[in-house]
Amino acid sequence: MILVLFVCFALFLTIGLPLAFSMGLSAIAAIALASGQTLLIVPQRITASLDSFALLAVPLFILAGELMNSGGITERIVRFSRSMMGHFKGGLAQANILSNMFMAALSGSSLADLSAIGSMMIPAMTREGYKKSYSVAITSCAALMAPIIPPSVIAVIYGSITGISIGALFLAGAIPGILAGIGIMILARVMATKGGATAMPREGWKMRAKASRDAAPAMAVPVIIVGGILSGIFTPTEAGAVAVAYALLYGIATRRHNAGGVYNLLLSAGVTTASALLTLAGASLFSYVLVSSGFAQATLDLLSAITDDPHLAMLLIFFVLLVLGMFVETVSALILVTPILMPMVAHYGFHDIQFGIFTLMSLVLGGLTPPVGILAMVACRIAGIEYGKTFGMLMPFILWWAVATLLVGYVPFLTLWLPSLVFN
Amino acid sequence: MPDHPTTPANTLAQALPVRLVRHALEATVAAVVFGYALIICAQVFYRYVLNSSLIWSEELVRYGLLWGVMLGAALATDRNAHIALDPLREAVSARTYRLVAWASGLLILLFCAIVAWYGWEYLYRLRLMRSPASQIPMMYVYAAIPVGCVLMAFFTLVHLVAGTFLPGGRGREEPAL
Repeated sequence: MILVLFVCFALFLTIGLPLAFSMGLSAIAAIALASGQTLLIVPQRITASLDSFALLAVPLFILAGELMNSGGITERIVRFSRSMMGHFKGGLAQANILSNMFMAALSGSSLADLSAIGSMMIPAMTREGYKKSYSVAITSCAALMAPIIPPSVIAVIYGSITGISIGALFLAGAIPGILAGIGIMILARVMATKGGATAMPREGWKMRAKASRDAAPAMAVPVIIVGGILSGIFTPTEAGAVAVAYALLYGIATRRHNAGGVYNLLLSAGVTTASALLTLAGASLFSYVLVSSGFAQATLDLLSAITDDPHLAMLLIFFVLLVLGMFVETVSALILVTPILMPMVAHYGFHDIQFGIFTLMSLVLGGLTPPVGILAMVACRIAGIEYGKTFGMLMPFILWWAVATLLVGYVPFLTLWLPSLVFN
Repeated sequence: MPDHPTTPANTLAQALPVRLVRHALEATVAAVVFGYALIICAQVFYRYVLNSSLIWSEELVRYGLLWGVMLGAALATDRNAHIALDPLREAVSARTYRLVAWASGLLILLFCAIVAWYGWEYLYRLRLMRSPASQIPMMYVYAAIPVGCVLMAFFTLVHLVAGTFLPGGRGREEPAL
């Protein structure tokens, strides 16, 4: 059964069948070949995996992010960050990271943030004499914060598979995300000379006050989302809907939205959500076979035969996730490994929220690393440079993110303090 | 997000009946996504401003999500927006790649056929069930699976015949996550 599953899956992926169908069909083949099983389990698993109020946060946060980008919120945040940080050495790099940090608190997806901020910041940095490889490394690494700092689309998906409170996962990601961001800022400063970084003239306080006033409506969004969840006013899904309403009204008030544009954003949010959640449905079939065939248990047995030390096990899991994230797109990787990881969390006594953020941080790093570091590739496309030429600059940032991930894995305070204020 | 890859206007993929299906599908998906936001905002509004909770809203949007995903997936098929790895694209000749693309197109059709068939049987078995809060007949909810699969198969077939089928249309990109 398990052999059929893996052979079909590898074959389908190779010929370019989309992931959702590859996982679904290989699971169907495995179920059909196992005697005494009816394929009625297929529609049943598909409906069960999608029938969740929590998952609705996915289209809502995707839509909110798109509405904010097209409504000019990103521009205002970038201008604010520039006026505050531009006069430092490597000021544009710092402003870039700060913008990403703010955007991470507004939207839940790294690729959207990367394209929005990158298309403004990378050309500006190139004009000021920064090396393209340096700009690419900074922009793409800073974009990793988006799925960690709340709101986060992948945290929603993780929570909906595991049953862990999504509100708690959101809050747990805040400190690790900001910590990672501060580290990226320090690293950017250390590498500033190597990256050809320059400083811009210091802006007067009058200009800064104006930039802050312009950006203030955008800053209200994280307050609504995090504050709403912290105080128990909203569920994360409701926070998503309120963020959509806010972004829509804001764009209408500033006359940046029109009916046709909003229609296209609705469609694009619908398609993006569907391709992610159809993959989720396919993966839920796949993981059903993984679990029912005893593969998950066998993996745990294997790991516990290697080590009984939770710290060492955490390190091993980190490397496995890292490699998986390098080859498989984040959502699919997350859905595939979670059923296998859950028994390990119980066995080694990890804290499930802390382990969740650790898992997410490990998997998203695949966005930077070869062979398919999609975030770095998109940034390279914006900058007009070959992906292969940026590795030297990317490496320190990749290492720092790995260190930050391990810190999250080993220091409970980083993830557990904030949720402990609300959830007990 | 890249739009539908540029195709000659006279192909089957742009024929009038196909365009009609596409526009109807697009309008439905946009309405469903807008509906999520609207209904959940209404739910918050009723709870805090009018102090009376809606009982039907949560159930309705949850079932709406199933429809939104199945119909959106059909649209993603039309736009080649599914997540795929597609490692062979640059590795083999254009001729071989066309064969490979046909193979994966046929596999998508097979998947849709199986899931639509069992989805229909599932719906039929549960045809008398109603949802707990708002008493929606569950067959209308589960109908999303066969309907979505038929539409996915439709667009796959259209693009296969028109020669505009690209299994890994967006290449190695992931959705905006």
